[in-house]
Amino acid sequence: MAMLIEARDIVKHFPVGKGLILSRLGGTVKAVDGVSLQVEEGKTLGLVGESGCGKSTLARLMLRLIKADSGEVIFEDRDILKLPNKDMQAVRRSMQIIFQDPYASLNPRMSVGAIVMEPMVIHGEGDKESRRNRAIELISLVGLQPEHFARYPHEFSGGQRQRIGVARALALNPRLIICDEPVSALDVSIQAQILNLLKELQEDFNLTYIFIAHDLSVVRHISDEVAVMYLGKIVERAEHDLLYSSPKHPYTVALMSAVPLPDPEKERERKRIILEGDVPSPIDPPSGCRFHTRCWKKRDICAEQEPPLEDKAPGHLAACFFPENL
Amino acid sequence: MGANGERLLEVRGLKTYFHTQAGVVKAVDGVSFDLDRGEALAVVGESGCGKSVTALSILNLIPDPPGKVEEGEVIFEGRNLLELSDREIRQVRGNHIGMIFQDPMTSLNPVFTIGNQIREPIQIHLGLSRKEAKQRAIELLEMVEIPQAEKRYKMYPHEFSGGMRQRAMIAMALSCEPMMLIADEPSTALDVTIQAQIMELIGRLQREINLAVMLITHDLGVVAGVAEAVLVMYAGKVVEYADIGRVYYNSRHPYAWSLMRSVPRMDEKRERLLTIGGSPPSLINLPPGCSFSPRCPFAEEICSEQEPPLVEAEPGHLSACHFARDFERHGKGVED
Repeated sequence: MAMLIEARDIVKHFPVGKGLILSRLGGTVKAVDGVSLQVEEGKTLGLVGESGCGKSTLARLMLRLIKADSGEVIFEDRDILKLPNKDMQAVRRSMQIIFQDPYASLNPRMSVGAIVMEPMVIHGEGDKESRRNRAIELISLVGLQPEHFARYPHEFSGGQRQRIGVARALALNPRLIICDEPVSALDVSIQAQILNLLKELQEDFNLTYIFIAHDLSVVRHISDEVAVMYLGKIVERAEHDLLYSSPKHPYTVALMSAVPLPDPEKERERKRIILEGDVPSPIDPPSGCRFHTRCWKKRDICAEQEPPLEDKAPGHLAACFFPENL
Repeated sequence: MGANGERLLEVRGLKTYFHTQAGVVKAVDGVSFDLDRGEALAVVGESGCGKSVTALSILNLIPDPPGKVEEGEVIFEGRNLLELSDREIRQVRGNHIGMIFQDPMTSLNPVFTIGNQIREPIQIHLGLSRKEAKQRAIELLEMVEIPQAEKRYKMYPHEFSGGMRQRAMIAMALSCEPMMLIADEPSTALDVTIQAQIMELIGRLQREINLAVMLITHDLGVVAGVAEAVLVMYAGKVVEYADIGRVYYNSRHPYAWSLMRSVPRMDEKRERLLTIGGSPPSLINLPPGCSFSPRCPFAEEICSEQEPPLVEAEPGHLSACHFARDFERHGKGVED
């Protein structure tokens, strides 16, 4: 299978403290610090990590919604970070995003129809009539009724709003959709509806997803491959069965062990690894392996050298000197 | 479902309504349950099902107007909390029942130090001197596993991480040695590794100081390791109530039954998740009969005509479904 999108060594550091009061503090938030990954056409990459690990920033860098400091993003065989703005707009048709909060990502003053037609208007697609027909088709496709066309976002529940967001993302027949925590804000009984919808659409239109989540159980359900991020770096990446059956990086092991199972017997028997403390600040990340301050396997070398992301088993990358499950 | 313990709290037929311009919102509509000393009860449901309002009603914290506890009794250690004067209920809050909320930052005052905020209730409720109260506050911070408690005592909430703030809130809730803790989505706003820490802490406190815990959550996983009994709420009503094993492995209500099958689980991959169609109903305009019937995979004619009573599906297992006693047959059909 062909790679649809590939990121090579992307770096993004945000300067902090440029304000009047903090001007002397300086420093940079190392939000994304040398990340490489690829996604095959028609597949889903799950990107997992805790808040502040850089997963949403990485997604926005790959869509060129924010500018990377260095690195390359190869999409359809071109480095889109080097494209002039005019050419970039044409590329944007093929890459879309669905946001976490369906309350904040829909303009309350636009009708559902207008929201779904807007991408077509921006890209000058079709005439009024054809855009309208296409919007009605999309609205039905995501499980809403054609008569919802003229209604406004406030008339819809969270799950329905997320469907509108999905319809908008599909409007230009994209090849890649980045789903940035699309179900985290939804009620439990609604999450499955949206997950199943995304899966069906992927099968029908051969879509490629980058699915961002903080939740390993949601990612397991939808992904073909999973990448785990910690403080701006990918610490582990593997095909999803490999990752879930034998996680190599201690952080992945801890993250998996922290996910509660809706199963009281298993839950009581489980030996849980409780990580100490919090995620350190990305302004001044720990030396060597960034996870060493919370790792139960750390030795001297972990604080001194940064472990490379390398094959620990066939097709199973991890960045650790002392990996688990070998 | 207090098995053999000593009864601490009894809630009987609690009804809390909100009178709004759009109509009467029946947020809690006839909820009953018990809690024993040292028992952990999980109240599970989606947003708007009335789980938080139930907790606030117990402590007389419903803003009136628009809200009002219309009916019911909340018997705590032999007294009906709904009949107490403002002064008396203040004694109960904190001294006997502590409460923590989802977002610790909104519950902490940003302009006072953490220590100050923990010390003050101790001085007021326990009548200790400032110095003694400070000592006690530091002990509490140690009890909730905050490192360098003495240094942390002097810090402000913004200097604490989310997990640390929630620990500080727990310390504050426990400062007057209550017998019961109400935890309203205590870990929802936290990252998963921190969530595990907080749930571990609550479980440990329950065992070690024999604390009764009422855990409110929408997440079936979070409570699975801690709770002993589970109360499932839907649209202001109790739909299922039993010990945790029965609800999780042998549910007798289609809502809980489908919810268990619709959540993605980390320990298995399913091709399609079972979905519950539609979305939770508006509390102003509830569907006739069983509130869950429009979304229910087993619904028959009777469900939209008559409201099912909460009955014993089997001994110690309450369910509000017309088919509660004959559930297996109905469940099988849908699963296939």
